[in-house]
Amino acid sequence: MAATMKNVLIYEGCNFFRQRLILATLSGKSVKIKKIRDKEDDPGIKDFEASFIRLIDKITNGSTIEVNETGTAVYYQPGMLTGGSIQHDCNIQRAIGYYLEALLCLAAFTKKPISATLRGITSDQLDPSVDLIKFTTLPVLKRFLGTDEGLQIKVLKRGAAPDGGGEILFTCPCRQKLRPVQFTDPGKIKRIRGVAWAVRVSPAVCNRVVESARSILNKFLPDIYIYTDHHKGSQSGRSPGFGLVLVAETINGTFLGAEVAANPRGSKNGPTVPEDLGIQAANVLMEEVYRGGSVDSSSQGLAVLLMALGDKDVSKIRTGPLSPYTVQFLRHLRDFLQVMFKLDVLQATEEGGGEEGSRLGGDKVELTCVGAGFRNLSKPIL
Amino acid sequence: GKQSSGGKEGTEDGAKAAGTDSGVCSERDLSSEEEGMEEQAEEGSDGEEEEEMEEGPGLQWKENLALKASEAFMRRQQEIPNLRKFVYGDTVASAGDSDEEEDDDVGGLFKVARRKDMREKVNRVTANATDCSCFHFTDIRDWLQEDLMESIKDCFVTGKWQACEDAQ
Repeated sequence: MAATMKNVLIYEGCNFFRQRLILATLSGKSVKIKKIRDKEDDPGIKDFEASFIRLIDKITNGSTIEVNETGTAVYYQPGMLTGGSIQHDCNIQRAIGYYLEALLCLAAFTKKPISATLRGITSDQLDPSVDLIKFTTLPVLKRFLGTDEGLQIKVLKRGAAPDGGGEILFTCPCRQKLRPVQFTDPGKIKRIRGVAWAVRVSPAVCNRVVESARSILNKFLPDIYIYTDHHKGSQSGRSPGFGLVLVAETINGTFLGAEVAANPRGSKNGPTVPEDLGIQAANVLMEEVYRGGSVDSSSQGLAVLLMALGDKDVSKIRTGPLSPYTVQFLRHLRDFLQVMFKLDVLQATEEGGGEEGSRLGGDKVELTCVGAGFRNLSKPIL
Repeated sequence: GKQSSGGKEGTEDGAKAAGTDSGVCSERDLSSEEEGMEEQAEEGSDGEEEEEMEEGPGLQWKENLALKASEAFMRRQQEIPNLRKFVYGDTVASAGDSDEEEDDDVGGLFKVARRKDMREKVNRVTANATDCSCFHFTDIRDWLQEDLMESIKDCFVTGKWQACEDAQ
């Protein structure tokens, strides 16, 4: 897929757009993406991709980004990652999660610690919501950084799809190098936490969601607490909406997350019933528990990236089935950083087969790699 | 030992290309789907003439069709655990696949689409798909069913612990 030409990696299509720009930035290699939606009625990059390019431009210095007239080809020559304090209005075609995921990948390697205010949609049905990233992906980042000082995501205003109006603050410390991580035993789930959020609808909706979700979750575990978060006035964005984010926390500090958001206003599927949403979220969480792993499915991509960038030592994690996004990330890591992973499938043992036969859900994957020994050259050493 | 295993893989690949829904159809102008299936299967049996001829010609391909389909299915099933091959492609698993290339012509006229081409075809489809990191469920199971509940019971602290991790 990736053809190399004069130290430029060439790809086709709009998929995995973020990964390519992230890895180009970190590896210092230029990247050219061709044939972006070239066969579609509306060819070329969309507004959210343009918005993403502008975000990359804000946190780097000296990068060159060229988009051709029709928008079907993008050339990116990376500059230095500067970070610092930035503000960005995220295009509302995608939720803030789309942009935030990329920032999480880059934040550790900036010159100055990043402090980003992002405005847009905090939760939608496509991207991981800001809350889910906060609960599940941030702990993964914390492991690699070795600290959580100055690492936070704060939801200042909630904004539901389709009009958004939310605002979040993301801060992250920068590091000279990352720690290798060996984290293969997720341990058992000790508690389930969650947030039922609602904006511009009746506060009672939260309670209805919580009650129906609990009716399922209580069958698995007694320690459950779901917060209700109802925003009013200027903090509630421009569209009505509600949703539920659930997180299962294990004794070893793994966070498995799941979420469901209500259909946006004007959706073809009609309005969502709060009770159905609660039950659906509980079931999605159990699917995630079944897949398991020490890193949940939405954090897989970040985990493999940080493993590959780590110090020259062995890193090892266990995950559930790899998502298509992660599979492509592994391929890209080989293209950009020449890091290949050892992938072992751990078959789920037969049920009730004596001492070993524990019922721990589906097959797991163990990922092992030796880090590329990536150094953050722009961070001043004190 | 290595050579013989390489040869075996070669023939297997040949069968694979003939049995699965390969790119043969792309080489021809097919009037209908069904016709295409027949022709494809015929070609498949042509490729392995030596093995099939002794059992007689004619409608032999029909039986093979089911067999090949099931074989192809089994192979696909086996391929899924071979994650490394799935992620990084064949280049890692079999570095020297030059001998496989020779078997690609069927009857000197048609070229059997290689697996690489298949992958490129898949890539072409996904290349402009939506860029999203989430797993999206199409069917969410009802986790209150007894057997499903059982399958994840030990993921929780309330489940059974292994002897080594029990509280002292």
